Amino acid sequence: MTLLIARRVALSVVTVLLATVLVFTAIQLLPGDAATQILGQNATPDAVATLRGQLGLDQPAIARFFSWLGGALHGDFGTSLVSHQSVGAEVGRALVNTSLLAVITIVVGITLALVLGMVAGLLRDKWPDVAISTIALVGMSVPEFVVATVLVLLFSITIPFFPAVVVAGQNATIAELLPSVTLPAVALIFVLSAYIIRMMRTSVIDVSDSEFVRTAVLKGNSLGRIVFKHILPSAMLPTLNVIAMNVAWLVGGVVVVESIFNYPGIGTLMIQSVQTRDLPVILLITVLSAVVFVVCNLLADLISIALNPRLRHSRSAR
Amino acid sequence: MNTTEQVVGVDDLTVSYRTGSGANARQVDVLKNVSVSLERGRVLGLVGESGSGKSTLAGALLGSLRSTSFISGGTVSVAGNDVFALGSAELRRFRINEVAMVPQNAGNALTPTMKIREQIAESLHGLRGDKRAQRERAEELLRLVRLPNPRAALDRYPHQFSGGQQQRIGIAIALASDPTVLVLDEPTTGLDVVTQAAILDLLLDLQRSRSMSMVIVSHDLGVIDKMCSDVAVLRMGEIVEFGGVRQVLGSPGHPYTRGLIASVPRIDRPGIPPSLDHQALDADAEWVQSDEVTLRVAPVDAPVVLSVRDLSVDYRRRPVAGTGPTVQGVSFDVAAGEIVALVGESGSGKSTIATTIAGLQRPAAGSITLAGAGAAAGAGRRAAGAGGGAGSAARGGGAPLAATVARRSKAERQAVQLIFQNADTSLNPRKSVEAAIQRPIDLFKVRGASVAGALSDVELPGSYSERLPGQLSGGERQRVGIARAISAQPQLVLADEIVSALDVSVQSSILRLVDTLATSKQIGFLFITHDLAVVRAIADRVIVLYLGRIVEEGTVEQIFANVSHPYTRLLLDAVIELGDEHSDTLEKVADEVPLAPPEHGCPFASRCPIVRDVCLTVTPPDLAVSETHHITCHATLPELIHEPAFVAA
Ligand SMILES: Nc1ncnc2c1ncn2[C@@H]1O[C@H](COP(=O)(O)OP(=O)(O)O)[C@@H](O)[C@H]1O
Ligand code: SF4
Ligand SMILES: [Mg+2]
Repeated sequence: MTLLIARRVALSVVTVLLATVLVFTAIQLLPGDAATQILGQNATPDAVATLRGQLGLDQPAIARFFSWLGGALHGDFGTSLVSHQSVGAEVGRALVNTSLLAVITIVVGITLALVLGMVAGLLRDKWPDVAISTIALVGMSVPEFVVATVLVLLFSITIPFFPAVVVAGQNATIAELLPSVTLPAVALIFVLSAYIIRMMRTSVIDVSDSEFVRTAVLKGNSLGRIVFKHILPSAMLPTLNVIAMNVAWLVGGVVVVESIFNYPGIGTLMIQSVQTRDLPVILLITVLSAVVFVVCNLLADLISIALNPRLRHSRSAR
Repeated sequence: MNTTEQVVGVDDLTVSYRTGSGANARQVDVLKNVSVSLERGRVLGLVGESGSGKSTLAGALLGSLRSTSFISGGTVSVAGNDVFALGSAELRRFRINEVAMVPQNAGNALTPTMKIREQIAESLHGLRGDKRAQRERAEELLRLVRLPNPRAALDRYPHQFSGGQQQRIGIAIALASDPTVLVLDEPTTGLDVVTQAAILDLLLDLQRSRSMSMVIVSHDLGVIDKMCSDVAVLRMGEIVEFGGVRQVLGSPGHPYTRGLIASVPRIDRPGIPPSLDHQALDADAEWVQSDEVTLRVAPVDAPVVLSVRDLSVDYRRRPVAGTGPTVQGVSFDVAAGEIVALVGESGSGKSTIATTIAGLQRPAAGSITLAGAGAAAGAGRRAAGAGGGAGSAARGGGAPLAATVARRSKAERQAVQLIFQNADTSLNPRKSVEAAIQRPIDLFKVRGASVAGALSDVELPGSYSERLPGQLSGGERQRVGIARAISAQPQLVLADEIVSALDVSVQSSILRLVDTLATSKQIGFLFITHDLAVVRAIADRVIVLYLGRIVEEGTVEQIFANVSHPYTRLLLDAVIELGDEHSDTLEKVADEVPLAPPEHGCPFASRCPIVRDVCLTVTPPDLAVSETHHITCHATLPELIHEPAFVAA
C-alpha cells in the first residue's frame, strides 16, 4: 500500500510538471509577448527589442523555461513582467482571497450536497427528493457564468442586499472582502453541489436496496445506526471521486465567477495576466492549479482506502 | 411450556404488487391464499421452483416485503405477534427478540465496511455497552458455527472469508439474538457439497440442542428432506401441498410435487430425468408425470478431438514457499461426440483448465492438441515446432494449439467454443438473439449454418430471433448460449457450469439437449460442474479434480462404483439425496479446501482420512484399477473399496 501511495505521489509530480510545460508552450504560441503588450501597437521595433532584452525575452524559450524551473525549485518564481513585483507575493495575495472563497465554497458546498443527496436518497420519490433532485438538475444544466450573471442582476438591481460586484481592489483585507464573498460562493456552491447531490442520491439508493441493508433492518437496528453504520460508508465511496472531480473543477469555475463579480482573486489575476502575457504569473498560477487538481484526486484515493476495507486488506489475508 | 404450541401461523395470506398504468394497470399476486403453520421446535421447509414465492413468504415472516409489494389479504402471526399489525417500534422489538433471518447468499448480506465483531455485536442486545462481554460472546458464536480461528476473525471484514465461511458468519449473527424462529433462505445454495453437508449438520445440531423452530427455504428436495419435519410445496404463489415431510415427499399427493420429485437427477440412478410439463399440468389437474429417464449412450471408438498433456497453469507472480502451481500435470482426452465431465469443488481449477484450452489463459507447461480441420490449418503454420511426443494421442494428426487465442488461426478458434454459467451476463442485453447467433456464423464464415437452424437445434421457436436476452427465461437464455456456440460448428464445446443456476426441471431439459447435440453433431463436450448428480446423468467419462490435480478418472459407472479415491468418496458421501436415511452425519473431516495446493506430495493429504507419511512428500502414483479407471493415490486398492454409492437396478 505504501508503494501504491508513493506511485500516486510520483505520478502527481509528473502531472504538475507536464501542465507547466504545456502552458509555457501555449503562451509561446500566442501572437505577441509581454514587450509588445506593454508598449502597445505603435511602438518602434527598436523600443520593443530593448524592452525584450530588459525582460530577458531575447533568450531562447527552452533556456527561459529551465531558468524559471531552476528558480521555482528554490521557491523563486521570478518577477512580474508588468508590475515588476515578486510573482510569489502578487499571486500569494490573490491566493489568500481565492482561498477564502474556495474554502467557504468547499466546506459549505460539500456538506450541503452530501446531506441533501442523502436525504433525497433516503426519501426516494417523496416530495423532498423531488424538490432536491429538481434543483440539482438545474445546477447541472446551467453553466456557472449564467448562475453568476443572474445573481449579479438579481442582487444589484432587484434586492441590493449583498454587494453584487466587489469594489475593493487586489489589496483588500479579509474583513473588507467577507461580505462580498457571499454571492460568488453561492454561485459556485450551486454548480459544485449539483453533481455531488445526484451521485450521493443514486448511491444511497443503490446501497439501501442491497441485501446487507435489508439484513441490518431485519436485525431490528435503529434507523440512525442503519443510515450511519451500514449505508453511509458504502454510499460515500463512489461519491468521493465525484467530489474530487468537482473540487478540481472549482479551479476553473473560480476564474469565471471571480471575473464576473470582479472578485480580487487568482481568477481575476489570471485573466489580467493572460491579457498582458505576464508569463511568470501565469506559470505560477498554473502550477498552483495543477497542484490543487492533483491533491484533490490524491486525497479522494486516500479516503477511499480508509473507507474501503477491500483496498486496505488484500484478499490473501483470508 | 406446551410442546404443541404454534409459533408460526400464516393464514390465507395474499401478497401482491401493481404493474402497468392507466388502462393496463393490474394487480399481480405473488402469494395467493397461503396458509401454513409450524409448532415449536419443528422445522418447516418451503420448496418450489424459482419465482414460486418462497423468498416472499420467508420475508413475510419477519414483516418484510419488497418495497412495491403489499398485503392484500390474510395475516401472519409469529410467536404470538400479528406481524403486519405491529407499529414500527414494536416491529423492531419483534425482530430483536423473536425472529432472525439468514438471507440467501450471506456474502451479500454482510455489510462490507463493518468488522465481523461489530456485525455480531449488533444482535447481542442483552450485552449492550459491555464491549468485553460482547467480544467473548461473538467469539463463542463463531466457534459454535465452527469458523476456523474465531478470535482473529472478529477483527476481519466480510471479503476476507470464503463463501462457506461467510455463510457460517451469517448463521452466527442470526443465532446471536437467540431467536424463537430462525428463517433461512437457501442456506447452502451455491456452496460445495462438502461445505453444504457440514453446514446442514451444524444447523441440525443447533436446532436440536436449542429446540429452535426453523423455516428453511430451498429448491433442493434433498436438503428439505434431510432438515425438515414439515414441508409446504409452492407453485406460482400457491401452496399445492402441505404436510409432514415423509408423507409429502414419500407419497406425494399432488401431480406437481410428483413431477418435481421425478425431475431431480440422482447419483444412485443413471439417466437424465424427465422435465416437469407445466402445460400438461395446467390443462389437467390429474396429469401424471412419467418417470422415464433418458439414458445416455457413450460413443464407441470415436476419434479423439482434444488431447491435453501435462498441462500446468500458474497464477502466482513469484513462487510462494510450500505451494505448487494452481493446475499441474493434467492430461486427458475428449473424443468426438463424447461428454467428459470435469468435477471438483470451487477453486479446484475447473474453469482455469477450460479457459486455458480456450486460449484465454496462458499455460505454464504442457500441450493442448486439437485433431481434424482446426489443427490441420495450424499444422502447416507451425510444422517445425509440432511433432512433440505429447501430441501423438490425437489420431487426426493435429498439432499443439498456440497458447493464446490471438495466435490461433480462425479455424482453430472456430473449433473450440465456450458456454458460460451465466447466460444473462454473457449475452449482450441490447443485442437480439439473432445478432448473438449470427456473429459466430459471420466471423467464421460457416457454410450451411443459419440462425433459424441453430434455434431449431436448441428447440426454440424461430420467432425467438427477434427477442432480447431480457425477454427470455433462464433456461431459454442458456439455450441461446448453446445455439451461439454450436452455430460455429465446433469440434469441441467447453461448457462451464451451464446448468448450475437452473431449476431441476429446466436443468434436465438442457441436459437432454446437450446429450442430443453431442451425439447427432459428433461434438466433444468438456462438461464442467460441481454437481455429482448432474455428472451421473450426462457424462460418459469423468475426471475428478482436486486443487488443480487429477485424482481420479474413469467411466461414469466406474466413478460411481465401489472403488474410489478418498476425495471422490468424500464427495459422494456428502451428497444429500431425497429418501436417504440422513442418519449418519459426515465424518468430521476438514470441510474447507486449503487456499493453495502443496508443493510436494498429495494435494488431498491435509484432509485425507487414510493419509500416510509418504503422501506428504512424494507425488502419488497412478493406480490403474482397470484400463479406463485410474486413481492417483499411495494407498492400496483394498483400502479404496467402499460401499457403492448406488445399488445397480
Ligand atoms: N414487488 C414486486 N414487483 C415485481 N415482481 C415481484 C415483486 N415481488 C415479487 N415479485 C416476483 O414474484 C415472484 C416470486 O418471488 P420470490 O418470492 O423471490 O420467489 P422464490 O424465492 O421462490 O424464487 C418472482 O417472479 C418475483 O420476481
Ligand atoms: S495419496 Fe495419500 S493423502 Fe492422497 S489420497 Fe491417497 S492416501 Fe490420501
Ligand atoms: Mg429465492
